[in-house]
Amino acid sequence: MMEHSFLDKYSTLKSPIHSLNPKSKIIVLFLLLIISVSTKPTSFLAFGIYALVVFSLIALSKVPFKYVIKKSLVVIPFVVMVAIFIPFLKKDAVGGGISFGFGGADTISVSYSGLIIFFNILIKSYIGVLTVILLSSTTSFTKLLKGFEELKAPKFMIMLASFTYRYLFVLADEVIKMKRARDSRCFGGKWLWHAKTIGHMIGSLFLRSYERAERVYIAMISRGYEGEFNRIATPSMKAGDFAFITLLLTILLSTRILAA
Amino acid sequence: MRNGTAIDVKDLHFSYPDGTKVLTGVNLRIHTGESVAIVGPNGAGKSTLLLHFNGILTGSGDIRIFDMNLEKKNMKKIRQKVGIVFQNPDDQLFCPTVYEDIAFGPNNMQLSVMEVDSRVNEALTTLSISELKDKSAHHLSFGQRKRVAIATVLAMKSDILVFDEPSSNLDPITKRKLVKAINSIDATKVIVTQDLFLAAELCERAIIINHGEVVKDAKMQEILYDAQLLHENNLEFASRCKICVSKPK
Repeated sequence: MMEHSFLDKYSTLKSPIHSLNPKSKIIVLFLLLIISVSTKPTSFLAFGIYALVVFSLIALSKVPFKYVIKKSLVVIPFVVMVAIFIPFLKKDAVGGGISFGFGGADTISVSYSGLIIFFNILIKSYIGVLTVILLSSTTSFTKLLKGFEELKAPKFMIMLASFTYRYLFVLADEVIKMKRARDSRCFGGKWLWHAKTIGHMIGSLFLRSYERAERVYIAMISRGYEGEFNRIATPSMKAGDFAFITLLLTILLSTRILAA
Repeated sequence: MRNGTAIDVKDLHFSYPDGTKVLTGVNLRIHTGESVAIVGPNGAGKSTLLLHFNGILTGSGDIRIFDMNLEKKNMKKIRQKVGIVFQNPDDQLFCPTVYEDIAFGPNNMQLSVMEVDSRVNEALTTLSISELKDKSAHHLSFGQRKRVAIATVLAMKSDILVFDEPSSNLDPITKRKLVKAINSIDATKVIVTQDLFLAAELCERAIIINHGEVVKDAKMQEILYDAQLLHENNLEFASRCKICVSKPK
């Protein structure tokens, strides 16, 4: 183990949100996504309420706001890249437009419906990102997987995610080791030469992973694996979980219905 | 049940698909309750031999585990009887938590939830790693992972335990602890290693393998003090470093 990296940082804090059953969190936050995505773009108040709900849950969970905002901002550039041109493409131009002085055809104008679509994409993806951050920073990955499994998500996907989580760090360590080995023997050089080295590294990483997969499989069948992954049951949902689901769904659903 | 036969290998040949001959007629017999070291240099075929004990690899020749022939219809039973602790714990620990990793084998044996839980806890206690139960394997040190890997096999209560290089990459004190842990396990034990110190601590008998066949099968002591034999097989027991050999004046 060379580096301690955590995908689910803060998931070991103690708070009312952390102690909820992962299943109830998954249900509520998944429904929040669906409700938010299906809300009419012009219901600004509704989006305000959704955001308020998510932020109050974050506050309750004691996960630092700074961390949440920092993480959520990673996604925004991608969304903006995709959506930025929409306001300029719609027909119903408003605001007179900006002319470059040649008159007529080269006027760039912003359209109202385009702006609404832009806002729509931005706010919905942001709420989505916040929701996912909330879920992942209040639930450890293991519990999250169990929650999904008990909610009857496909077993195959769960296994895939669980192996990925387990070996991501092993692979990352391997990359770091290779990088160190390379850097210890490499002093400068042209970038083309570097590209070649990186190519070799990727190739050998692929081979190593392939061989590791084989060894892991051998270790699995040595312990009687026959294609069935039995897991240990988790504690069942408590009164608090049902209260959480009912309360949140009432707020969200009524907002959604009133906003329609 | 001592003196019954646990593992019986007769004239085992194996070559890899590219034609490299790895095992060229291995004959050995390991008795119930014995601790036997299989030693030999790099590339001698030790690990290949080990993978035959539970039928992961199948060469030509006869292998019997207790009274069962190593063949497809017995495979499930044999894999419950023979537990292998692999060299690299990262290959053996693939579940999100230590607990689940240890429960993996017992779960595959279709035991009840209660039985699985008690076996996991027993294995955790035997290796004194109870506090690691809910941790994820990638947060553990190498020595800890090694012990968890042993626990995963221990929980299956296999009659035969096979260890592949259990002491590699361990510091001396961790190695001592490992020796103690392995010694406290009651089973037929096969230790595959190049580390004669470890072999001497754990086993009363040793089998030297080189060039794909058994070179010598004898009592531990007989092998340890046969310097010529050890040298021929790239092995070393007594500290041969300059400072140990030269006498202080």
